[in-house]
Parts: sequence; C-alpha cells; structure tokens
Amino acid sequence: MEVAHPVSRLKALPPNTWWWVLAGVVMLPAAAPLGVLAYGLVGGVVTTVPVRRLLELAANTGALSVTVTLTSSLIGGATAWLVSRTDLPGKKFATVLIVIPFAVPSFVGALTLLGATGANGVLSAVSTWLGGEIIRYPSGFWAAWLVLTLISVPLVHLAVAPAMSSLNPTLEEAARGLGAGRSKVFWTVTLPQVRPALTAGALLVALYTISDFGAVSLLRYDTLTRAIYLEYAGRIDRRPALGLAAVLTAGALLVVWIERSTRARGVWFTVKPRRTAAPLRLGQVGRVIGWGFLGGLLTFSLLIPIAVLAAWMLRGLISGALVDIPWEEMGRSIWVALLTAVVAALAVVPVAIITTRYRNRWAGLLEGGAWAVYGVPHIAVGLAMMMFTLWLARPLYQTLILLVGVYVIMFLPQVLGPSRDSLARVSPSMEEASRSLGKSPTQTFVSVTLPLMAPGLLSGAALVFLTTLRELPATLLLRPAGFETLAIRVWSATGEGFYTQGALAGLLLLLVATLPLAIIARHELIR
Amino acid sequence: MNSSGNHHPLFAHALYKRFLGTVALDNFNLEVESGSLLTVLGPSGVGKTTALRILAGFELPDSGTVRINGQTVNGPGVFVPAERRQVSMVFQDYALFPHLNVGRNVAFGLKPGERLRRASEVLEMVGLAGLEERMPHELSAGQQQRVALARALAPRPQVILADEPFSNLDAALRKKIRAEVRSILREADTTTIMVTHDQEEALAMSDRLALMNEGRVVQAGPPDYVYRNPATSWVAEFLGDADFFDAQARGGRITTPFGTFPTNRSGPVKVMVRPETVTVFPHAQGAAVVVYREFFGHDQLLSVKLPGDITLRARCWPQPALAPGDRVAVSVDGIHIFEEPLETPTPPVSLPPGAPIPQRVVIPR
Repeated sequence: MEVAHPVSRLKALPPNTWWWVLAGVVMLPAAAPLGVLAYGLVGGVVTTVPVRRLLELAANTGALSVTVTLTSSLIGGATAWLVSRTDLPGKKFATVLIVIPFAVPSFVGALTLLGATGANGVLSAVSTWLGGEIIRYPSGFWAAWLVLTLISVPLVHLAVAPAMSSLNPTLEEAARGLGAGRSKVFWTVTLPQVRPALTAGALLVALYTISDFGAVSLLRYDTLTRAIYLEYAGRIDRRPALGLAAVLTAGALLVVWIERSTRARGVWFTVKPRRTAAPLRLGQVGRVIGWGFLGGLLTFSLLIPIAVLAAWMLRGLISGALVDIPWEEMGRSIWVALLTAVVAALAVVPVAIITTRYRNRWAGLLEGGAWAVYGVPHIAVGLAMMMFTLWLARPLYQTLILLVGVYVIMFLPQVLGPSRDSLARVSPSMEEASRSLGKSPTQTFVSVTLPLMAPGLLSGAALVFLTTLRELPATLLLRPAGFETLAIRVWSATGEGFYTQGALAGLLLLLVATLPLAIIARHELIR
Repeated sequence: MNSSGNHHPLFAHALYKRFLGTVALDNFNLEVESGSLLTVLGPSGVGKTTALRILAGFELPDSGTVRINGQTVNGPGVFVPAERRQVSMVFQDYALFPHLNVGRNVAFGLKPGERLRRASEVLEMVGLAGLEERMPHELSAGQQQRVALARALAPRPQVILADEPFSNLDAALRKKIRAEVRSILREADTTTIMVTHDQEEALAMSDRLALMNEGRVVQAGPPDYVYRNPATSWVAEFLGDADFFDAQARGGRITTPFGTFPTNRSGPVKVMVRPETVTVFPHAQGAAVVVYREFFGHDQLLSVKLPGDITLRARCWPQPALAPGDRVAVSVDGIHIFEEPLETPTPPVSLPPGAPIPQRVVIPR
C-alpha cells in the first residue's frame, strides 16, 4: 500500500482558489470584532477603567469561574462514572435527565431561582404553608454559583461519560492483577485516563462561566460581563465598556488557548479496547446512594425549575394576569434562529472544505480564527460590533443583517465541527471515482461531497438554531429598535419582577428548543 | 518501442514523477493490448499506484506522454482531466457512494437515456441482478467489490484501472473473487490494468505482467515467460522462490555439484535454481545433507547443503520424511544463468535457524 503524496495530488473537487474566495467572504467579517477588541486592549482604552474596579471585577469573575468549574466537574464526573461504569438501574433514562439542563439558558435558570424564593416565591409559599419562614432572595456570588453549576454539569458529563465507557478494561485488570485495590485502581489508572476528557469539560465550563451574562446580571453578581452592560447602558462614554470587554476577551481566549493545547496532548490511550469493562456492582446500598445522589441533583436542576415555571404560569392563569401571550416574540425568535442556522450551514461549507482538504498554514489560521471568535464572550462581540458599525459601517447599525451576520460569525464553529466530521468520512477516492465516471469537479461536489456532508450540516445547523434562540447579550446590544425575542422577554420581565410573563416566555423558549435537540439526538444515535 | 501508441487502448511513454526529492517514476513505459489484463507488479513503494493515478488523470507527471486509444491525454502542454479520459478506476477501498443504492452507484457514470437498461445489464453481468435497491453498507465485501467493478464497467470505458482491488478481502474470499473478476472482465472484453504487490495474484490472473521496481518497468511479458526467463535476479526472486550461487562457465559448460549444464556464456556467472526443479533422494553416500525441513502437508520444503558451500531448497513430495542430518542425492531439472556481478550474495528467502542474517540485496540495473 502506497501513501498518496498530498503535495501534487490533484483535487477531485473545484480548485483551491474558489474555496478560498468563499471562505474569505465568510471569515473576513470575523476580523472586525477581534480588531475592535484588540484596539480596546492595546489602544489605551483599558486605562479609562479605574484599576481597583477592574481588579475587583476580574477577581469576581475568576472566583465564580473557578468555583463553578470545580463543583460541576465533581458532580459531572460523578454522574458520568455512575452512568457509564456501574450497574445503576435506569442508566439510559438517567442520562437523558442529566443532559436536559444543558438546554436551559442561564437567564431562565436565574428566573427559576428568583421565582422560587422571596415573599412571592413558590418555594417560600410551600415553606410558609409548612409553618416555616420565607426563603430570602438569594443573590450575588452563591446564587450565581448555584445556577451556573447546575447548568454546567451536563457539559462535564457529556465530555467525560464517553471517555469513561470507552476505557480499556485490560488496563484496570492489569493493575488489579499487580495487587492494587479498587480505590487505588480508580485513582492511579482510571482517573488519569479520563483526565484529558475531564480537563476538556472543565475548561468548557470555565469558558461558559466567564462569558455568562444572563444569570449574573439577573442575580446581581458583579462580574466583568454585568459591568460591561451597566457601563454601556449607563453612560454616554462607551470607552470603559470597551476596555472591560477587551480584558474579558483576553481572559476567555486564554482559556480557549489552554483548552486547545491540552486537547492536543491528551491522546495517550492508543490501545483500542476490544470489549467494554464489566460494570461495577453497586449492591442494594450503593444503588440507593447512587439514585439518591442523582435524585438530589435532578430535583434542583430539573424538578424545581420546571415546577416553579409551571406554578407561576398557573398563578397567572388563575389571577387573570396572563393575557399577553408573546406570539410575536416567539415567531421572531424562531425565524431569526432559523435564518441564522441556514446561513451558517451554507457559510461553513467552504471553511470546512479548506480546513479538511487543503491543509496548510493558512487553513490553520482560518480554523484558529473561527475558534478564537467562538471563544470571545458574546457580550464582547456584541459591544465590539456595535462600536464597529458606529465608527465604520453606520448603515449596518441596528439592522437585522448585522444581527444575523454576528450570530453566524459567533456560532460558525458549532456547525464547523460536525460538518468537518462528516467530510472527514468522505474518502477522497469517492470524489476521484466520480471524476473517473465522467463528472466535472463541480458536479462531483454537488452529487458526492455535499450529500455526504449533509448530516453534519444538519445537526450543526440544529445546534446553531438552539444557540441562537438562547442568545441574550449580543441580541440586547445589536438588535434593531423594538426587536423583542423570547430570550429578551424572559430577561426583561424577570429583571422587573414580572415572573408570570417571564415564566411563560421561558417555557415557550424551552418548548421551541426541544425541536433541534431531537434532530441532534437523532444524529448522535445514527452515528 | 512503439513510437505512435496508436494501436493500444493505453500507452505510456517516459513518465517521470518526483515527490519532494524522492523519485516515484523514473522513465516508466507501459502499453496494453486491447481486451487483455495487464498487471503491474512490484513491492510496496516502487511507484505502482503513482503510475496508475497518473494514467487515471488524478496526478500530474513531471514529464512524459500518455495516450488513450491514440489520443494524447498527458504530454507537452496537454492534460485531459480525469472525467474526459474514458478510463474507469476500481479503488482499493471500492469508493462506493454510501448515500446511493447499488443501482444508482452503477448508473452514476451513465447518461440519463441508457441508465436503467445498462445498469441492470452490468449488474446481471457481475451476478448481482436484483440488488439495485440495496445500500452499499448492506452488502458483503465480495458484493461491494463486484458493485465497484460493475460501476467501472458501466460506461464502457477504454480501460479499467484497478488499484490493489483484492487487498481488502480476506485470503479465502480473495481466490474465489479474483477468479470471478477474471471471467467477468473476459466476458466484458475490457482492457484492464491492475496494480498489485501479490505475485500469486499477478501470475494467476494476468495476460501480461509488468514487473516494476524503483519507478520503472523492469520486465514485461506473459506470466509463464517472465517466470521462466527472468531478466534479472531481482525479477527471479520477486516472482518466486529462488536460490543463487556463483559459478564459472568454461568451454560452453557450467559445472555444479549436481551436474553439468550447457551455456553460451563464459567467465563468472550467477546461477539460479528454483526449488520446484530440485529433486532429492535419500542416499547413504549422497553428496548433500539435509539441514532444515518445513512440512506443508501437500509438500515439503527441504534445505540441502551441497559441496562448495551451496545451499539449495527443494520443494518435493511430502514422502519420504527426511530429517536434518540425513544424507541425500540431489538432481536439478534445469538452471537459469545470469551474467551479473555478485558483490553481495543473494540470500535464500527462508533461512535455516542459526544462519547468518542476510545482507541488503543490491539489485543490479
């Protein structure tokens, strides 16, 4: 078998230059927010923020990020282990339940916490009915920590569970044969092997927490993201907001960089397992403890939030306060998300082709650029693009074109991953076969490559749809005047204490979000 | 050399190809007769696949000419892309389109008008009639192979190019499939160029062999002829088991420990003996000693040591069971003589235990 040399191999697809032109059209706008933020960092804008304030905000953001990462890694690691390595009954059912909170936007999470507590809170009502006291409004650090931890657990679980279940059991058996006990095997063999996955999941959580705006702003915890919005909304001078956004971006990109560099080094289990490990027998007591743990987690992450949203809706129905169903907002949310998903799926094609088929330094730069934009917190992208249009592209300011364009730039990597996966499974020999059967490069692309990429594009587009629905900060900053979506509705209603309206919009949002989740789940099952 | 190449479905002349300093093709020449199966045979990494990909139009040669049915497709200032060459390729991994069913795969290269009729005709030819609706992943490896062949045959190409088409099949299936493929190709009367590194496959299937080494065709001809008249000791050894030793030719004869053979050469020569031409008899006063035995059931391979430090292998009947140390008499039915310098002795392919490690084989040009 001879290795085909990539150096002079003719491409069976249309030539390089076409794809580069198309990819350039897609990726060049991504330079705009990066440029503005870089200017914010090095152009002296940061100095408009008092140093003490900056340090305080950075410390708050860091503290929240570290604690949320630690606790969700611990909980997510435990759920992953329970589901993939033990004989816990109802594992499949549990997996679905554990993952669902991933679909809950952080501002909806904050809404459920606020709606449960306080004098009017659902839990407070239960508590006083039982003869207890009103549960006080939680706010600040611990409230944000609780909401973000519960939402982040699925991120860790999804990263770690596959690694846990694909572990080579012979390694653990070898350790046992060498005289190591169960717990020693876990700490010295099992854990080190899943560490890359755990690290990847933890860094995703860190990035998510640093970038979160919805929960921290509703729960009034003073982080960089909240401060950026307050600075923006409260002042004529936008420079302090831009300076803070630049600092936030630098921190987020540092996490992205760490994530990318640890991922490359994390491939040391090269031995493919021939079989999966026998699940650990928990026994009666173990099962009770296992389900007790999962039950407790799911009570807080699923049961209470849903009950609270439903209770507020019922209250609204009974008291007659619920007359204004936000149909318009719902329609707007759906079609903007749909438009974004379609545009992103089309725009990603040249980028996917170049980064898988025409590997060189420029392709690497293109890919790196896409990931960098993905890592920039949305509030920073939103602010930067707002400044950019104000300064250099005034006609685009507060237009739908700008909003959808920014969504596409931000969410492109979500469709890039799956479409590259499916493209990688298209063997170049299939394209060559098509050529030798008389099809031109363009015909080959249309009749062979594109259909085989389609499943990846579809599931990537579904993910973009989902993300666009939940997007809050960039929407707040860039939307045309009066352009209300469900996400904005939830945020503003909750901020003003109208929990009934917030709950209704939140439930509608979750309802709409189940559609793309079904598509994604189906794709994962087929794979 | 046929300078026009007009009479051949495919003709390649003086192809050169270099990849980042390594030479893949170095004056590669090839022509194939209409309706025949030509096998390009050689070890891994000698440029077989590169040659095939250039013929298919998937790769550009640095220089050289390719003509298909008299039309120049590679040449000075000429490059005809793959889709206009009327050459179909059968790939090592079959490259069936996973999103299309068998019928659509086969009809892929056909014009709308003839699609259905021709597709079912070709599927019938490869014995898969009625499987049009199946998806490729629902087929066995052997069936996938035949779909790939049917797809290549369907547009009636000038030449079919096949790159190691049997290497993805397991050994038992491979023999069966290759006999089927051979008869399908004969029935379809197509011209085929196949690339392989498997000598047995090449000898069994081909009308003609082209032995390739270091980027060029070393010898071409019908399999029987090439096996019996190898142009170089490298060809001899690559095509089958062979033992070599040095001898002197004098007065039209070569004297060896197992007899005298006529020759028209004189001076130092290299003698090649194939194990199947060696016969061994148990003989108490025999000049040779058995040093090693491998038993295969249907035959046995004996290594015997002769005077003058010559070791030969003999492939013979499994009986009588001889053991190392037994004295034997040896007779050889024909030898082959090369007039080559012998800086490095060519070691036998399978060595008795404890034998010295073979030196690198230097292949004379």
